[in-house]
Amino acid sequence: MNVSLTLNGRAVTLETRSDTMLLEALRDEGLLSVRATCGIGVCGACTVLLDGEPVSGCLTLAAQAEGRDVTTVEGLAGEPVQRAFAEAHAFQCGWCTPGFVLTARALLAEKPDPTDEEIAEALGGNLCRCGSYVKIVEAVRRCAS
Amino acid sequence: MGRALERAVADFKADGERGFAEIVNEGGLDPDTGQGVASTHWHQGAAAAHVTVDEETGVLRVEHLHASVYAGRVVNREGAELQNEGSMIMGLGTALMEGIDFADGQVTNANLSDYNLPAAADLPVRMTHDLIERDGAEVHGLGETALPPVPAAIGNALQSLGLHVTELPITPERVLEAVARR
Repeated sequence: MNVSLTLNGRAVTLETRSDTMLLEALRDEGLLSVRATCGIGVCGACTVLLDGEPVSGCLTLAAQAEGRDVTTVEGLAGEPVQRAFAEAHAFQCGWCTPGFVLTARALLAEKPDPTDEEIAEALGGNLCRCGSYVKIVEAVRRCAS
Repeated sequence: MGRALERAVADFKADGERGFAEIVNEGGLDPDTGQGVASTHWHQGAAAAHVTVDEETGVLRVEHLHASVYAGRVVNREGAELQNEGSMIMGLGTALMEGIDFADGQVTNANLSDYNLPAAADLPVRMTHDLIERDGAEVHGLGETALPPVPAAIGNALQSLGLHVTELPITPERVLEAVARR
């Protein structure tokens, strides 16, 4: 089946199957920042923005993106949140970073000045095995208005 | 034997309050085969924890976690800090959350749904650490150095409250058992 959507600002049509997950469809498009990890929506490494909302690509059918707006970090062009992650050294191995960046971006769009508790709560669906949370939270804090 | 280790050992011996250490010079290369020889760990780390316990629910809260590691000469400041912070957070997971279960010899934790990792909201209320540096010291590995002492520090903090938990992870259920035993 064909799924037409806006992917990182461009109108595209993905050739996919009705049972293909968005994660797989995006990786097939070469968007490798979307990490295939736990596959059950626990780790947040495959987070993408669907109409601005963070969702797990592994739990979202590609077909659910029909007519909608999907953003991965490949679609961000050096936004403040990305620069903040770089400046705060908010990563070690970097596997989880795209998911954290997108979750943080969605949080800041909704709440430009979140408290530390709100930041920690919003990032609750993203896991970092390196344990870089101190600097990840710092990066988000730096973006707060 | 690295100069950094010798220096660290000298530090330990010079100040009895910090503890006692001796050089165990293992490792190196086998002269016949050139293969590496297994050795004891050569890095020094310590941790301390302040915890509070809700004795009705068994929920333990780490109010303050501190770790000190011997860092030698720090080359990448942020990277070194990240290693320490990450070690402490991973140690926190080992201490409180991460348990592997077995049934008939098989691991039954199928995925992260059955194996909790710390997330951003699980961090101690306060977390601090030291990178102990020395001028002229060698570059020193920091990976996981601050990790092993963390579960012990949290367990000892519990012990100071009269709650002796000897198994990891220290779950609320195990804390409640310790409350009942006290």
